[in-house]
Amino acid sequence: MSNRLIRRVAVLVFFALLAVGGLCTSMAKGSIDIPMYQIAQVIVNHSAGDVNTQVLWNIRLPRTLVGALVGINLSLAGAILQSVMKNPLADPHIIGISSGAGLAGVVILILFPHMEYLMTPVAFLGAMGAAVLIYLLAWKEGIRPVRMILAGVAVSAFLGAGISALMVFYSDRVHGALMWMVGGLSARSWLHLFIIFPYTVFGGFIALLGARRLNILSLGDEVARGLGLKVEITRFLMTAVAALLAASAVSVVGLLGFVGLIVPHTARLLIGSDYRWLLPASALLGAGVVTMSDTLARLVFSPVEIPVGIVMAFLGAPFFLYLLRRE
Amino acid sequence: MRLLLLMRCCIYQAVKCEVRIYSHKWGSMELVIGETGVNSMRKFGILILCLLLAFLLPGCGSNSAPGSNQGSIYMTITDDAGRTVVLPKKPQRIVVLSTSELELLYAVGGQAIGRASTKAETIPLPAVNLPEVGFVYNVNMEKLLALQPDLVIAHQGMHEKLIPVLESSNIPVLVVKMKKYEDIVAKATLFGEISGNTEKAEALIHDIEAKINAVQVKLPQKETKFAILHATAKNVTVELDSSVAGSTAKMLNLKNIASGDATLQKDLDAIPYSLEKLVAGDPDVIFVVTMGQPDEIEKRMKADVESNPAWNGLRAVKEKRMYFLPSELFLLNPGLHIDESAAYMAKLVYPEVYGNVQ
Repeated sequence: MSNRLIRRVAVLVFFALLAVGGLCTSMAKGSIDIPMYQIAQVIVNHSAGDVNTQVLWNIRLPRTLVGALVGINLSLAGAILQSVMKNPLADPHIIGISSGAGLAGVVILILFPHMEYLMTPVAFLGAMGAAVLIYLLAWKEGIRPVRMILAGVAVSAFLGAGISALMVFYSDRVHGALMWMVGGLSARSWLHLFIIFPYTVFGGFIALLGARRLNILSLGDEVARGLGLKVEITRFLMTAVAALLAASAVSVVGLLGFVGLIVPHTARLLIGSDYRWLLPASALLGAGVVTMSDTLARLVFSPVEIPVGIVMAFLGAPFFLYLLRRE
Repeated sequence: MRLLLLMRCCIYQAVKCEVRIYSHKWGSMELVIGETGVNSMRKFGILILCLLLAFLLPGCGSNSAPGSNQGSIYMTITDDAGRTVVLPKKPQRIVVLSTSELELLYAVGGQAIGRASTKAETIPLPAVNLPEVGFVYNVNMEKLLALQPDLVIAHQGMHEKLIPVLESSNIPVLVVKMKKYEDIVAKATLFGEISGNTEKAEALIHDIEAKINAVQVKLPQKETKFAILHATAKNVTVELDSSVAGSTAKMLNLKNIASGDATLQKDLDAIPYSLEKLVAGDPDVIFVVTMGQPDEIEKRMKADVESNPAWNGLRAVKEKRMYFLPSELFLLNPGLHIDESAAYMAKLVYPEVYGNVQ
């Protein structure tokens, strides 16, 4: 085994441990203290109706799992987009996911609060709609990444203006909208897990299948064509997968920014740019980061909860800068 | 304070004088421009500047001559932002920027000349056709200044950013807080004094007090725990005792499960709260503050909450003791209707004593 392989396996194992550690601490810690043996009991048998069982089985466990899946989805989407766009700043935001879902979500929360049950599908449609719009706008005899990024910035700014306008004119109702813009895992339960789970499985599967193609695409269009890759189709398919992954995550937890940008970069700095390694590493690190951040978000000011997006930005950004300067 | 006012007036007078001097020169200036070009153009610029200044500083007109201000001051008030507000004379042109304050002012027999536009709340009948100065949270300064008010009543937390502009135009601004019952009593007294109707204000306060007492005497001797949520099943935000609904519940001796924690002893209305702690706190009743159409929201949120296992563990949800509070009585401040808020909540919590809500 070469040195590089050993290093990669070691990093991957480390990320896996991090993810498992994140899941475990998230289960073990919360606003109310529950002894470890009872946690084990509840996971085996959750039929008892007492408060601790209810808290563990219906609040903490699903919330932890939703957090992990959201972390996986956003990290994978970010990693894919960074290759497809050949731009280190590419994240789900750049293809309009955040602004599309953001506007759709804010419209529901502010203008039609009685239709909140439509939140998840509408946010999903908004995210996908914005992604498709940006793709169409950027299309001119094929897609050039730079054009797509610029189209993304323009559309995001346009939709963002809509969000701001709504928040200004209905400033008495912005509370829910604000929480949605920050993103958080509060009150997420099994049904949210079931919404996001199929996308994680499907998107993760397709992404891993496409890892080799992503590697080739990162070499540049000319080289990729020379190697026999259908550049346009690959780029479209991979963008679509990234959009699905990110849209499903955002529609469930709100605009949880940052994961899609920082996690793939951190993973890349530690494991290299080979997508066959980078994708699983990003997924594991994403799951670990989100679950751990959420644990902190619940604990720091307990029983007051901070939205997880805030915690993540506070901790992750300095850490990311540290990695960047170290290189 | 009076000295300050006097100084201000002096400055205005000085500016006015200067303008006058320049305007005297006006006739000869035109001649000069032709002869010495650039230099006189600059002078001309200064003249324009002074004229502009004169327009930008209303209150420096003839009615604020120093003599008229040296008489007695009508009132000196410390408002809810801790500012000292001096009313040189009894306000005749009051603009009220928030609806519940407007209602209160009319209830104590006062009158306004302008109000904020609003969508839902009740406006006293005589005030309906008053000129509007833009929405409550987005006031149009030009319209406001054009009304030439001699007192602006602003709402705390909403209109602070307008204060510097109004102060620089020499318009007194009164920042008012109206959330709790005590606030409303204090404001009724204050508005009564401002509009010179202290007796009417006292009668009004007496009336509200009597209505609230009528609710309070019937309170059963038992402890009922509650939580107040914002109307969304997507995040958990609870209101504390300083909120409108929270202070109403306090009048009914109900116990807010979120108010006991040491970390929460700040002047906050609402905080994002741990759902785990909410389940452990086991409230008897859950109130939900709604925005928008309450019926639709109620139907939907009930469905949402009942289908979400995370919420379902709450005893209040299982026993269907989750009540939706109408926004006009509980979201913004109810003002004069605070007794209705109390009665409404009492009916929800103790229907066996107070009867059902219609």
